[in-house]
Amino acid sequence: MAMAARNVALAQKQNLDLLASCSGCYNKSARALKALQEDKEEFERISAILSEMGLDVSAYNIRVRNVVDVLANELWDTLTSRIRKPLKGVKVACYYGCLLTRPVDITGWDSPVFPISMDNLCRLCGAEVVDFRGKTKCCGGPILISQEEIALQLTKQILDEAKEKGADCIVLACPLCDTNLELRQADIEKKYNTNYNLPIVYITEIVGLALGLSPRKLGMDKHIVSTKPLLAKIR
Amino acid sequence: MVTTKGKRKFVFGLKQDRLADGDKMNSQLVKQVVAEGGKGAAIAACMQCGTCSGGCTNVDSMDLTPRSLVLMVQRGDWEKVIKSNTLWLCSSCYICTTRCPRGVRPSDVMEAVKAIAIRQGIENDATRFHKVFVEVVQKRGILFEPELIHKYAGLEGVLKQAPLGIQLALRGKISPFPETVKNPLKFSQAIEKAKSCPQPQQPQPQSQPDTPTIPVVASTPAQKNSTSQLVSSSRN
Repeated sequence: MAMAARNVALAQKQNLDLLASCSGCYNKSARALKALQEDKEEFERISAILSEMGLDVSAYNIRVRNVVDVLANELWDTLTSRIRKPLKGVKVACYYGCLLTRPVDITGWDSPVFPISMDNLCRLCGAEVVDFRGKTKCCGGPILISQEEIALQLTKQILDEAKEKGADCIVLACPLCDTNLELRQADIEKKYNTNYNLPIVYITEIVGLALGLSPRKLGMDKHIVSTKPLLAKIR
Repeated sequence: MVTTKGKRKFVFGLKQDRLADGDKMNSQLVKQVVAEGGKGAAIAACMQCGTCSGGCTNVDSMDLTPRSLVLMVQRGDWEKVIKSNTLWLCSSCYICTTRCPRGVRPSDVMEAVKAIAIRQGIENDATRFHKVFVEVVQKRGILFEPELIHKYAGLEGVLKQAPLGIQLALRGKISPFPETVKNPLKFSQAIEKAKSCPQPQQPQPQSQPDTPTIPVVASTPAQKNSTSQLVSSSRN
């Protein structure tokens, strides 16, 4: 808790909201912030550790936000007017994973059971969103190292469904899910003797493409699973 | 997968020993878990509906379903809890917590139980990984992946992951050199100190003759073992 609280304290020192690009980091930071704001006992315990590190903050009034949260709830109108290159004919599967919208008392900006903010964003970008049942299923990221086999099995279920629904890519908002779905895709293909070639892209990349940014600038060439089939569909 | 091993079964393949039974309830372990997990772990409210098990992503691989785990905690059956692989297969995805109609928060129960188990000195791949993870983070204040893999899986593990690592490094996704936070020494000292600070007071369970008491080794705090334990040991 103190480790997560450190980042929150650093943000509070500059009086800025903390924007997390990873669901896990977002969740833990938001949890730490909640404890610091609402639990006096916890506040004192953590503050003692933080002041050891040379961080003294007396009150917390910032918020911890997530990229999807900000895009969907703050920048919606701005995005609407600036879409230059709608992604016509692209089918995407939006994968939220676990910690982005759960538990609801910490996150609370979208439904924990059936979140739709990312679907709406993709629709705004002109893409077709497939009905993805596994959108809130866990990819097994936290147990990837210690229970690799089971984690890969969980990841396979998600890839299987997305492929079956005919998605051109999976859109997500968590680097750990990306590690599982993209970097381990080759392992899964080898192990189960299948072939996915399913590009996994971060939500900002999809939004960036719709805004007309060049794929190179967005780093689309840096993916381990090639995004070329996806880009070919957009052009 | 769950094997039946000739045990008596109730309807729908439910095992007899996993049915709620008021006579067997025992509040001792519940108290301990609640003390560890704080307000989150409202075990007594559980009505055994099984929504948590129904939603669990990973339930197929577990030998005790989340529902049974909560039941065992209600009964104070520590032996069964600690022997099950459920604790280490749970990926803390909070689906159970979100769906629970009674506000039990099974993931928090799971984390509290894990913290108790770790303090008792249980060791397996999961606890080892968490321990190594915290050690690596503590050193520089930031994670350095190659070191993590080396410490956890040895040179063999590094070689296995090397092709992926090289691909990532070529794309500029990971740096081959470790980074640090500002003033890493202060950071690691503070974390070290936090590890040795006393745990929140646990209520002393009254000993009951027919139940095994849980030997709690109080000196090693849960912080030592994982980042998720950092959260679990707090009362939020």
